[in-house]
Amino acid sequence: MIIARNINKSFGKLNVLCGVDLHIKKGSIYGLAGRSGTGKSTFLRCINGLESYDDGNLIVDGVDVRGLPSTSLSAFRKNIGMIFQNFSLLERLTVYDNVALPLKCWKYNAFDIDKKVKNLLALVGISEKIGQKPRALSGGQKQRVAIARALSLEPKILLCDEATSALDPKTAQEIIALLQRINNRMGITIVVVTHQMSVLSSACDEVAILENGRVDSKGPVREIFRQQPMALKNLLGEKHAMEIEKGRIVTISLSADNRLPGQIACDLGIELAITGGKTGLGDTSPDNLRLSFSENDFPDVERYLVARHAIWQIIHEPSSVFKCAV
Amino acid sequence: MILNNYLAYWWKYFDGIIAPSILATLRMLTASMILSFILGFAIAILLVLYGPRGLRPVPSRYKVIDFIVNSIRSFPIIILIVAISPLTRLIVGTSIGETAAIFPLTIAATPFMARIMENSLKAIDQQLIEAARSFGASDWQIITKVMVKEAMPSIVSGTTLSAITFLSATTLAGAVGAGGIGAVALNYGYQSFNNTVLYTSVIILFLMVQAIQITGDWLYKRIL
Repeated sequence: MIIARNINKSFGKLNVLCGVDLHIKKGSIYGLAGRSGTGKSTFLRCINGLESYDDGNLIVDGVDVRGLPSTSLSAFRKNIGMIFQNFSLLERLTVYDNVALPLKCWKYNAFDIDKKVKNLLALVGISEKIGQKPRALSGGQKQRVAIARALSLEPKILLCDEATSALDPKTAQEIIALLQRINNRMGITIVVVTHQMSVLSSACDEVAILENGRVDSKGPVREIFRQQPMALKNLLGEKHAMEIEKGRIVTISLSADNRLPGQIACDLGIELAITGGKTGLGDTSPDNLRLSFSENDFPDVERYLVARHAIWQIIHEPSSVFKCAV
Repeated sequence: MILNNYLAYWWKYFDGIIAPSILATLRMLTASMILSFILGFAIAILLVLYGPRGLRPVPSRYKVIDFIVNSIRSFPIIILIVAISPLTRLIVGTSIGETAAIFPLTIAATPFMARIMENSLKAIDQQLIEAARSFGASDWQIITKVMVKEAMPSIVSGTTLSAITFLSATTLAGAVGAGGIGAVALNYGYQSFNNTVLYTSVIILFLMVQAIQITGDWLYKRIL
């Protein structure tokens, strides 16, 4: 669906992309991860021609992006929806008019527009806000509207530029679930730029981790998390990543500015069980969270990487209940 | 009795001199504002189209328009009116009177309006424009359906600001033969030592500014 061969791009002397090679399969959800400034967003924007590149080949749905004259660029972009971190809705238009905007630009007739907009709003679960303006909506609701707008022209590809970064973990998960549903139901290829582990772990089939404009590692998400390449550790940050061996008990301090363990767990897409029988998310905030590992917990995992005070290695088994003692 | 006499005196001036001059001022202001709004809007669109971070950057064209806008804006308005009076005479036929004043006022207001609207349009979140690009909107659609639409409240408040600025400009124009409330205040009030006329004019100008501001604010809230 999207084939990138040796893509190079520089802004002046700064090389943003250095020989990016990627193959994104049709119908998959592909994650582009990496720290800020590694070129992941730039690459994403090359896919729909918002950004040009200096060298290499980028074939999107059989079309070479660079050779496109500006006249066919619009038609090409019709096939590629895009959503953004800050939602990019028109504040002065209602939800309905925001979703209808691309259809109006493409001169659909009023009847089709009405039908499509209503269907899309139902799909993203926000029909009741149809006449509201964006300022009356929450972040998650805004992103739902943006998704509906991006899907209005029935694109084959959906690009998500840090689409969940401005949302709280729970809302982010809901948006990810929505994207997965869209992917399942419509078979749209989704490319997700993110630095959130939870997005990669819960939604993506494959991932590429970019570092300094290069693809450091790529492959199925499970593989990458198992291999734990350096780039992944860099992405998490030294301070927040530490390895724990099986059978050891580790106490992790949660300082005031840290998120609640429940939220972390939610962020990771795992369920957190607190000793005492209380299972739940978000309603506990102990100063110290003790995490214990036993032989039986995760037989196929040798080491655990603790990131941001949470065990994200467990994303191998999103459904597993993680035991911890408070 | 004294009060009645004074009121009769006041009414004589108001009815005979001030009232017609209010209408003259309103006509000058309305005409020059409408013309400069249209012209300024067109120039603002060219500026956001060709500007450095514009939709279709063409630095050479931007520089030319930018230079013209800055040049006209660098003249104090009263100097501009006097300086371009030969041109005014050529185009309008005369350089004195209400109609003749509309031309230099429009020339002075256009770059001002253009800048204000350019700033309003430029203040639109860049990502909104990208979003519009991403679904294949043309440059023209981005301008009309996204930028102008989103910038409307700020365009309205900018126009209110311009209207107030150019209300004072019309009174300045009064000093060089344009007529209107400014001319009345200067000629009958100041130079003829008629305080009744002077302060009536002052109060009327004050009320006009209030009226413009209130209308502008109301419109701003309404469309927000």
